[in-house]
Amino acid sequence: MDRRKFLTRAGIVSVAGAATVACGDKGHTSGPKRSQDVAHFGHPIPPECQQGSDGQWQRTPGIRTAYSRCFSCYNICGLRVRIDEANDKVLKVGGNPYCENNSGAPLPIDTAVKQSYVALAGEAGLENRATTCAKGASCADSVDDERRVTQVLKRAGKRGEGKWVSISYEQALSEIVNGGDLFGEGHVEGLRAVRQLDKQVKPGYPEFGTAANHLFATFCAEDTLRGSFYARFMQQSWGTSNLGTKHAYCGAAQATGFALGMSPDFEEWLNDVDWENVEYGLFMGTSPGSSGASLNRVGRGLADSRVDRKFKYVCVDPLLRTTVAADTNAKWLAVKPGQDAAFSFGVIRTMLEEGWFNKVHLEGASEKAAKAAGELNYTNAGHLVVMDPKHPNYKGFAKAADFGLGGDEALIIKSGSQTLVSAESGDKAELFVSKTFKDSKGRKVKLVSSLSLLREEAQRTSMKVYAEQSGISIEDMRQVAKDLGHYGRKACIAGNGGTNSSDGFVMGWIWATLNTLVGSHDAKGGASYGNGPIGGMEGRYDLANIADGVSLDGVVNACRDGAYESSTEYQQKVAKGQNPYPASTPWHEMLPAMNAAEQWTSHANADPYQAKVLFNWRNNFLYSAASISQEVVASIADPKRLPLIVGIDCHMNETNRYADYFIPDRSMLEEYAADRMWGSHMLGVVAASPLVTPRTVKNERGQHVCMEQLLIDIALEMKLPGFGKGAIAHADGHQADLLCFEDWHAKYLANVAAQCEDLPKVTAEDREWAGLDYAMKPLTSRLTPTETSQVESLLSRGGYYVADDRYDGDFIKGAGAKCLQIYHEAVTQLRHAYSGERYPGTITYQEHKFWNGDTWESHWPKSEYPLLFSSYKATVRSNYAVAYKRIAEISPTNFVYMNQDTANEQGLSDGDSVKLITANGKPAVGLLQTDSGVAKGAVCVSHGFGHAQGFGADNRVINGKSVPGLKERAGGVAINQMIPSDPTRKAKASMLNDYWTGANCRHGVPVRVEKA
Amino acid sequence: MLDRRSILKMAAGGAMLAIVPSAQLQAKTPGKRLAMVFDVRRCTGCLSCTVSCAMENQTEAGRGRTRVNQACIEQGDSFATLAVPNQCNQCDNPACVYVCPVEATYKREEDGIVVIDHEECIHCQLCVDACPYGARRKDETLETPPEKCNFCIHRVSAGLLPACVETCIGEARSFGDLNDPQSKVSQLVRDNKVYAMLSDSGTKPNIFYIGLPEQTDDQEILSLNFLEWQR
Repeated sequence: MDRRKFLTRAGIVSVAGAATVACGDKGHTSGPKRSQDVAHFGHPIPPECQQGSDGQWQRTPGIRTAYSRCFSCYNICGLRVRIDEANDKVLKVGGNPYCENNSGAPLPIDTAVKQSYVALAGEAGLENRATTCAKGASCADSVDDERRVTQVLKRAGKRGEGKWVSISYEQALSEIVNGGDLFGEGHVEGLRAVRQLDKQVKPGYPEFGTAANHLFATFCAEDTLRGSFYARFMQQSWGTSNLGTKHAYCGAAQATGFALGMSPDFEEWLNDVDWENVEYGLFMGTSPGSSGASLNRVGRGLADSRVDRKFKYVCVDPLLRTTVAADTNAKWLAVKPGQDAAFSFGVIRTMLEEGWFNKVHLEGASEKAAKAAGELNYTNAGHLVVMDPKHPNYKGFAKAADFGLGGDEALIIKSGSQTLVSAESGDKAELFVSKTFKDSKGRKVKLVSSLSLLREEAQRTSMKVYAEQSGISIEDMRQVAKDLGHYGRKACIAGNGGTNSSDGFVMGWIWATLNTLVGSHDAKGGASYGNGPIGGMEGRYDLANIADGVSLDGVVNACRDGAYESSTEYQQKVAKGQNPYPASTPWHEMLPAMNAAEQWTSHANADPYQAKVLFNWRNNFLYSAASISQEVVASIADPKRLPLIVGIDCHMNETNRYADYFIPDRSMLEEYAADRMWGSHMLGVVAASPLVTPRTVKNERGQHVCMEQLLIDIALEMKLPGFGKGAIAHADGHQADLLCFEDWHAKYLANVAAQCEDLPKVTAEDREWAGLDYAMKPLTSRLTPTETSQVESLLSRGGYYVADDRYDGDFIKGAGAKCLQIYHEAVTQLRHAYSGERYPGTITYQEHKFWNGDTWESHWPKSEYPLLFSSYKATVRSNYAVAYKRIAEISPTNFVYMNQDTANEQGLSDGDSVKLITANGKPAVGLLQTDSGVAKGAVCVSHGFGHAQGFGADNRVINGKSVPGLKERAGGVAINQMIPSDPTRKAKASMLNDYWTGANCRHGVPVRVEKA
Repeated sequence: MLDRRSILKMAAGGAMLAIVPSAQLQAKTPGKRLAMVFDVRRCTGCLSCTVSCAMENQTEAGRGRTRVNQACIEQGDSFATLAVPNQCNQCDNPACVYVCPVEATYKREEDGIVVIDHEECIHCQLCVDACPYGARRKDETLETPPEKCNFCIHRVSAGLLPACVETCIGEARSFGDLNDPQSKVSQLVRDNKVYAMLSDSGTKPNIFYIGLPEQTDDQEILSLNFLEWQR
C-alpha cells in the first residue's frame, strides 16, 4: 500500500503523529473504520458490572457475584468471584475488600455490597484494592480442571500403577465397609472387621489404645469446617488416635519453640509484624511477600513500609528473593543453609556484651514493675535460677519462700543494689547476676539470673566460629545487633518454616527471645499477635461432643506423641533395673503434632504397630514430608503391608495414587468455610459457600459424592456414634440430623454467625450483589429463621470481623501483660528420649545432631557432602497450584540455584542438568541456574515442582482408556525424598528430625551435586 | 538461561535512563490520555498481575499480555532484586501501528489505547516484531491476532480498573488519565522522578516507572525471560 493512498483514506491525520514519526517512513494514527464496540478488541470474560452514562452501576446480566474464601494456601484470604450463571462456571476471582487479609485495611462490614464493588472501581479502586496472589488468581480454574477426578474409582491393576475402573459410590461404600476378595489378591478386611474396640492394638501396651487405632487417617487440619468434621468421625466416632497432619513438616517446631519465650507453659505462638509502624525488620526462614502470613497482607505492608517509611530490613536467607527490593532499605545476608542459629547467637552475644538491648523492658520483673516503667509485658530476665547441681530445685527458679522473702514466686536482685527481693516486689531487677546466696536454712545456693544464663550460653562459642558457620561476617552481625538495640520496640524479628533444620524448634525460641531483648512483643511497630478466629464448634449447636462417642483420653498415637517416661517400655526397663535411656525410638512430648510422616514411618517399621487402613484426605505426605523414606513408600505400595487405602480428593497425587478406592471430593470453590485468616489482626473469619454445582458424581440418593458424604454413610452403615438422625444437639433442646454434607456446615456457620455481634442487615440489593439466593438455598431448611438471617449476613460479606482500634497508647490494644521468658523452667523437666538429658532452659547452640547425639558431620562429612541444601516455597506454588492451568504456565520448572563461584568449584555450569545426592535419600535431578544471589556453598531448590506422579502430570488408564499425563505439570524436580534420613534411628524406615521436637528437617542438609 | 550480563549499565558504560521530560508527561490529548505508572520498589514479584490478566483476557498459554521480569543486581556491597512489570506501553508513537498492512491496529483518540481490531486483523504477526518492547505475543500458527495489553479496555470502558492493576498486592501499578490533574497517575508523575523504557527509541510510551535505578539497562531487562525466575 503506498503512502499517499494510505493518508488519503485515513482522512484525519493528527499533526503530532506526522511530526514525530521515528520508526519507518509510514505515519498515521487514525484508521479507516474505528470500531466503538470494545467487543472487537479481544475475547475477555464479561466484567462484573458497569457504570452507565447516567453514572449508575449495574450488574452484568448472567453474571453472579459472590464473596468466598481462597484455600490455595493455608493462610486463607477472601475472594470476590464472578460466576457465569448459564454455564455454571467460575470465571474469575479477585480479593475480598471486606477481608483484612486481602489488603490490611478492610471496608467497614456494614458497607452495602453494591458499594463494595463501586469502591473497587476507577480512581477510588486504586486506594481500595483487595488482592489475591497468583495462586489465588489462578484457582478459578480449579473447578473444571481437565485432570480433576470426579468419578468414584477402584484400582484395576497393582497399587500405584495408575489403572482404574469407575464404579458406583454404593459399590465402593459396600466394599470398603465389608471387605472381601476385592482385588483378586486375597481377602481384605473391611472397616467393620478392623474396628475392634475391645482389643488392644499392641497387646501388653495399653497406652496405645484399642485395635480401632489400626485405622490411620491423614487430613488437612487447616480446613476448619471440613477438617473438624473429619476429626469428629475419626477420633470421636470411629475411635482412632492416628489422625496425621502436615503440621510437623511445616512450621510446628518453630511455633512450639517460639511459645517458650511467651509463656511458662507449652503452647504454640508465632508473631506477625506490625506493618503500620515497624521501623526495622529481621527475617529468618521467611521471605515476606513471597509466601504466607498472608502473601496479600504482608506484601502490602512491606511495600507500603519500605516505600512510604523507608523501612529498614534484613533478609537472612541462603537465596536472594524478590523481598530484597532494589532501591529500598532492604539488605540481604547470605546465610548458609541451616546455620541461622549461628548467625542469631552471633547477634545475641553482641547485643548482650555491648548492652544493645532494651534494658528498661528486661528489668521489669513483675507486672507492677513493668507498668511503672511504661511497659506492658514483664520478663524473667532478672529472675534467679538455682544453678547448684546438688540442690533439689536445680534448674528451677529459686523460690522466695526458701529465702524467707515471700511465697512461690521468683527472686531478683533489686536493681542498683545487692539486695535479694521477691520478683513481685515491684522493683526493677539487676539483669546479670551470678552469685552464691544463703537461703533461710543457711545453705549456700548458687543463683544465676536468666539473662546471665543466656549470655553464658551465647559466650560458649566465639564470634569467629559463629561467622564461619553462618557465612555472615562479624561486622554484619554486629550491625544487626546495633540496629536491633537502636530500634528497640519498633524492631521486629520474624521467621517461619524456612529454618527446619535439626534446630527449627530453637529458631522459633530465638525469635521470641530476640523480640524480648528489644522489647517489641505487643508494641506498636513490633511483634504483634492477631485476635484469631470465631470458632463454631459450640454455641447454638453442639458440634464438639458426641453422645456415646469414643474417648481417646490417655491414648498415645502411633507417632508416639507423649512422654516417653509414661510409656510401658520405660516402665518395663525401670522395673528391670535397666537404664531406661535410650528409648527404642523417638517420642514426641515437646511437640505432639500427629506428624503424618512419623505416623507412616511407624507403620513401615511395624513399631509400635502397623496400620490396616489408610484414609487419605487432602494430604500428600509422600510428596510433602521431607526425608520420607523409600521404605515408607514400599510399606504403602504393598497391599500385604497395608491392606486397604481409601483416597479422597479432587486430584490424584503422589500419595493417593496408591489408593484402592478413589473417592472424588469437592474443590475449594464448592465448599463451606469459616476460617481464621493468618495475617489478620482483628478477630474474625473469612467465610464461603459453594459457588457452583459440585462436579463430583452423585450417589443413588442424588447427593454429590464428597468426603463428608462418604464418612456419614460409613457411619450410618456401621452405626457409629455421632452421625445420623438427631446426632447434633441444639441449644433449644431439639436434635438436628447429620445425614449429608450441608447438615454439618449449616450448623457450624450458624454457630459462628451467632457470635457476630454486629452483623450487617442484608438488603435485597445485597442479595443480588452477593449471590445470596444461590448461597442460602441449601441452608435455609436446616436452620431456624434467626440462624438463617445471621448466616446470610455472614455470607453476604464473605466473612466478618470485629472492628476495633489497633493500639492502646504504645501497645497493641487488648494484649494482656505476660511474663516473657528468657529462661523457661518447665521445659527443663523434659528429657530427651535418647540421651535422657534435660532440655535446656534457654535457647542453645549446638551442631546439627542426630537422634543419638552424633553430629551430622560425623556421618555426613564435608569431604563427601561439601554443600548445604535449602528448600523454600516459590511464590506461585502451593499444594494444588500445579493443577491450576495458569500456574503451570508461568512456572514450567524450578531450578537448582547455586552461587556461580560454588558451581565453578564443583565443576558445574549454568544450564547443566545436575544430580543432588545425599547419604541415603533418593537422588533428585534438576536444572542448574547460577548467579550471585545464592549463598556460597548453598544449594537452593523450591518445593511444589516435580509432580510427574500426580495432579494430571501422571499417566492414567481409566476404564481401559488412556488418559495421558499433561507434561507441563511435571516440570522441575521434587526434593523431599532426596532429604536423607537419620542413620542413628535404628529402624528400616527413618527420617531426619529436629533434635528437640522430632519435626522433619529440610534445611542445612549436607549434599553433593554432580552433573547428571 | 538467565544471562549473567549486568542488568546495570554502569559496568558496560552505557547511557543512564533518562527522566521523562515534563513536557511529555503534561502533554494533553483531546480525549483521555490513559497511562500507567509502575513503582517497582513496591513490586513483590507475586505475579498475580500475570495470572489475573491471562484469566481476564482468556489468553492462550504462553501468550500472556503482562509479566514481571526480575534479576539480581548489585546493591552496595551486596545484591538486591529488581522486579520490573512490563507490557504494551500504549505508545504515542507506536512502532507496531506503522507496519500493519490493514490498519487493524491503531491508537484510539478517545483514550489513547492502542487496540487490535480482531475483525480487521489478518493475523500476519508483522506488528509483533516491530514492537521494540516485545509487548505483543505472536501466534506462530497465524490463526489469531497477536496478544497484547489493551489496558483491559472492556473493563475500563465500564468504569472498572484493568485486571493487573486491581490485583497488584504492593500497589506498584497505578492506572488513570494523565489529562486529569487530580488523577493518581498525574500526581505520581508530578511527585516522582519517572523513567520510561527505551525512551530513546522515539515511541513515547505511556507507562512510567518509579524506582528504577538510573543505571538500569532497560533493553536487558526487557529481554529477560520471566519464566526463568522461580524464586
